[in-house]
Amino acid sequence: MKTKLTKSNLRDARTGYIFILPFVVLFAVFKVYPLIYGFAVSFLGRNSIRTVSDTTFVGLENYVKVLQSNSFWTSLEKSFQYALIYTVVVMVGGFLTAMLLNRKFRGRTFVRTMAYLPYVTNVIAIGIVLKYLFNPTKGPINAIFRAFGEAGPKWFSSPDLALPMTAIIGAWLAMAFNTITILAALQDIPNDLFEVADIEGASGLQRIRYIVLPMISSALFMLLTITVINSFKSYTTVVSLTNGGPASSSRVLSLQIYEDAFTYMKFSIAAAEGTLFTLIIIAFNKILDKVRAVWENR
Amino acid sequence: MKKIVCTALLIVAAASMLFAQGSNESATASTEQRVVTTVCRASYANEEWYNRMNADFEAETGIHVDVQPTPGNDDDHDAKVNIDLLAGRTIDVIPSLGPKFYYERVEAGFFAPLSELAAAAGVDVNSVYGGYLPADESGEFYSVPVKQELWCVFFNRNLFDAAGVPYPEGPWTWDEYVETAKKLTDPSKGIYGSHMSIDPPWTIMLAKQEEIPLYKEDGTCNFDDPRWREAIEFYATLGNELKVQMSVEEFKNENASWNYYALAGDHIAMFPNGNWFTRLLNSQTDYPKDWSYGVAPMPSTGNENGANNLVSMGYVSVNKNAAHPEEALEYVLWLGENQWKYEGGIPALATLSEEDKNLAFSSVADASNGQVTVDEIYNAWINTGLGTTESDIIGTAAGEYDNIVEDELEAYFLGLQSIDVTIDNVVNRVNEAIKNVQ
Amino acid sequence: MGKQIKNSAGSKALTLTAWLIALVALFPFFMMVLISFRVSGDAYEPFYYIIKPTMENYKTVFLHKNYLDWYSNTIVTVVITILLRLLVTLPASYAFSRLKFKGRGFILGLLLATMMVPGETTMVPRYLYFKTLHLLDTKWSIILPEITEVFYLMLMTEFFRSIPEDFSEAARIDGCSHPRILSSIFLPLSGPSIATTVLFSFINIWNNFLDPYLFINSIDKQMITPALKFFQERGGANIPVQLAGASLAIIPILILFTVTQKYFVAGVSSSGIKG
Repeated sequence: MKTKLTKSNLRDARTGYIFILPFVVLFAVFKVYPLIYGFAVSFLGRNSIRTVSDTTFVGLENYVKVLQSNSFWTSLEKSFQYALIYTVVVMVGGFLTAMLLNRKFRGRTFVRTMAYLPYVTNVIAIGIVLKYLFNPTKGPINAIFRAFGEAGPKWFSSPDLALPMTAIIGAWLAMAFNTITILAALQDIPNDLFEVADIEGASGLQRIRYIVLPMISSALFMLLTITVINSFKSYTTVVSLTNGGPASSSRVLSLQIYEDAFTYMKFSIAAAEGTLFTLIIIAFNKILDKVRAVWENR
Repeated sequence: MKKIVCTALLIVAAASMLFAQGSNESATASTEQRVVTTVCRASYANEEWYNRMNADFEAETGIHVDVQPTPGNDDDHDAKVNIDLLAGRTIDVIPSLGPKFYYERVEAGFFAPLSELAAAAGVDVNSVYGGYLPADESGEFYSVPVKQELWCVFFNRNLFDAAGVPYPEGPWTWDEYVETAKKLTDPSKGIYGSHMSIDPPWTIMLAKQEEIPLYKEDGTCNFDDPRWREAIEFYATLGNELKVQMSVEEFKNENASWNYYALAGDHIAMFPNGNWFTRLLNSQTDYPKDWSYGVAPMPSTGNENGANNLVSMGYVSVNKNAAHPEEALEYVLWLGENQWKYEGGIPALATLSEEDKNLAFSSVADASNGQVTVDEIYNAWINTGLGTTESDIIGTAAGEYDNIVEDELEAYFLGLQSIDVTIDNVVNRVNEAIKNVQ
Repeated sequence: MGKQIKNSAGSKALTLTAWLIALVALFPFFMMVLISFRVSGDAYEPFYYIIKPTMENYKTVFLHKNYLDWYSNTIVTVVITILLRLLVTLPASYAFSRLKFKGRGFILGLLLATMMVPGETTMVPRYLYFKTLHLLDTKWSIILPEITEVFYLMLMTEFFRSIPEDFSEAARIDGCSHPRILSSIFLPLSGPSIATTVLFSFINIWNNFLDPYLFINSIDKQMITPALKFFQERGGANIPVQLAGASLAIIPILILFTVTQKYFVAGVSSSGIKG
């Protein structure tokens, strides 16, 4: 359809602006402005409890300090490790669960409802319970290991496992969103495709490879975008499961930012870290977009 | 769809009713009565003595104490209070338990100066608190001391009896402590002779007792002094080589908190801690236990300057943005003279009458149901022949210093890094933190 | 609809796996409720340990003078946020999906780009900014930034795009205004989409820990999730009481979840009208 400059089109445009105005204004004031504000604060000298209202411009000093500090790079690395594990588990787990729950079997409604349960939970409460379940000496999980004469892994208190564990738990809590979306997308696949597959005698894996995956690929890419975005929101999960420990082994960047700002009152340093983190995430997403475009145009 | 809209509207209606009710209530509550507001740790708000103390204050002065706890554990408390103070919160009275954040808050100018106000109220603070008053050179002070927490060694009498080991007595050294712990440790029964938590000051106890400076003359970190390293290694040896106490790794696995030891401490023979711990040990309802405890003075390091007990002061201050400054002053001065009576702690008063002394210690002894006597407590806390030194890290960027030490030492205790790397990391990170503050 | 696999042994194994997933999801809940009936000292006892169940924890929760405050604060905040979110997002989605105006693609692209920024990285500036706006310690510090979530804009816009052009074109020819089309044609069709938005918004705001923890400081204004942390004892969290509070706090979500379940499964597919 070609756009003609008619009276009705003009009115449409005006309605359009009016309709998006509240959203855009609120978005600018409460989402964009804090970003700019943070950017501005990162150039000030508000780095102790005494200088919280300081307005001295210090240039790039905070950025230099942050980029030179080990803790920034290690916690950035932890954030990406978390994001990677989280994304893989959510995507693969969400897909497999959806495939399982899409089959007809007795008690399917019940099983589906249960599978969504982790998504509605309060991380704080479930964190307490999980710490109990995975307690190496008293938890039921290691009791199973001990029954076989093994001590079992140390889970959250092992420096090697703490971060992957939190990422997997975070993914398990969030996975239901993907499961639901994929289940819905699966319902859109025309039945005759499967009928053809039946006639051809296709195996289960072949069905997934040649029918399911191509048919839901756009949903999967949408989910991937959302999952990657969510994968960097690790604060609450990490705080309620390991609080960054043991010995900083699960200290992700958001924890570091929080601590720098609200425990040590280094607001400008924290703002610089936040700004850098934001830029890195945006750059990372841009690269993912490119990869995705290449993939889709194969 | 209609159903959803209807449900939504119903929820809104119900919610707004609740909301309206709530605001009415708060409107009626703020009538003529004088009020003072104070923050406290969430754990305090649930303790009987704390509420009884505030009720008595109200009965005496007619001022109602509006207690505002902070969510989270005791560690979260100080950070949250700082965040709130920065937000310009007008809460009146701010307690600082342990000086970790106290000096920072004074420097940040959060507190109102009290010298003139106290003089106007007719209280001669110097004669009441003497050397305990945290006054600067000009005589100005921003807080009133409410208590001192002195350290001692708690022990499990039953385990000593079972092992046929005589109860510990002061003066003694850490070597003797270790020897005693060895005799009591029995891995077959899961009994450990000693238990010390994995945070400072336990992990750096010996150097703390010898008052090794935390900062060099030029203000940088002095953690590379060999005595810090020796103190840390001493702690590590207890759990890793001598195995007279749980190793840090085991402790982490246990995922247990202090209440666990008060409760399930039947397999720990000795545990150095602050005198506040008696409240847990004496609470048969909250922490029922089937063994009785005793108290002994802290061991000394054996070096001539190591004969010090640790002390941690508790202060209360008036917010400079206080909404009720007069009531706040009255409350703070009252707490200074009375809080210890309720908390069962050691007052920070210059002169204590024999009667008060008896009261301070007999309340603990009485609550213990004969487990400890007034004399034993007095000998373990006060009459120790030891000097005292601050248990906390105090100075520039103290909060961060403390966290860095805790963090790096944990990595060392878990075997993730060597002692050399640990000391280097502490020094570098602390120096970085100091630089940031300047 | 996926066809059942013929091989009955394989089929049974898959069904069993599905049930296993459900049980793994259920078990922590079961434990949460179970531990909430224990005394504090028994919190870490083995999972089969149930001796002496106590109601004390629930009594502690109910008798806490602020528990109802936290509950009602959270409900009020969640409801206001969701209503404002819908009020602002629906017209914007309509405009982005149906109306042509200059800069439409650019603005939408910009909004999508900022979606990538996790809120956690802006907690510091938000705190400082809300301080200057005097929003700290009010529920508006939670509500206002939550109103515009690009995710829901995206969800709704995608959904509106899937509504056939003919529907709105016919109405336009009949002389309907855009607000009219939105309210009388699009809105009735978007039941599933709105249900999805309501449910996900409810869950996310209800379970939000960091924002209220940072921005609210009066105990009577706190929200339920951070408020669970008020249940402490010397030396640490009072675990059974916190879990009792959490068990009670999850009830509204479970109710909403059950009520909207049918809707939101369809809503995410956003395809009911396509065929």
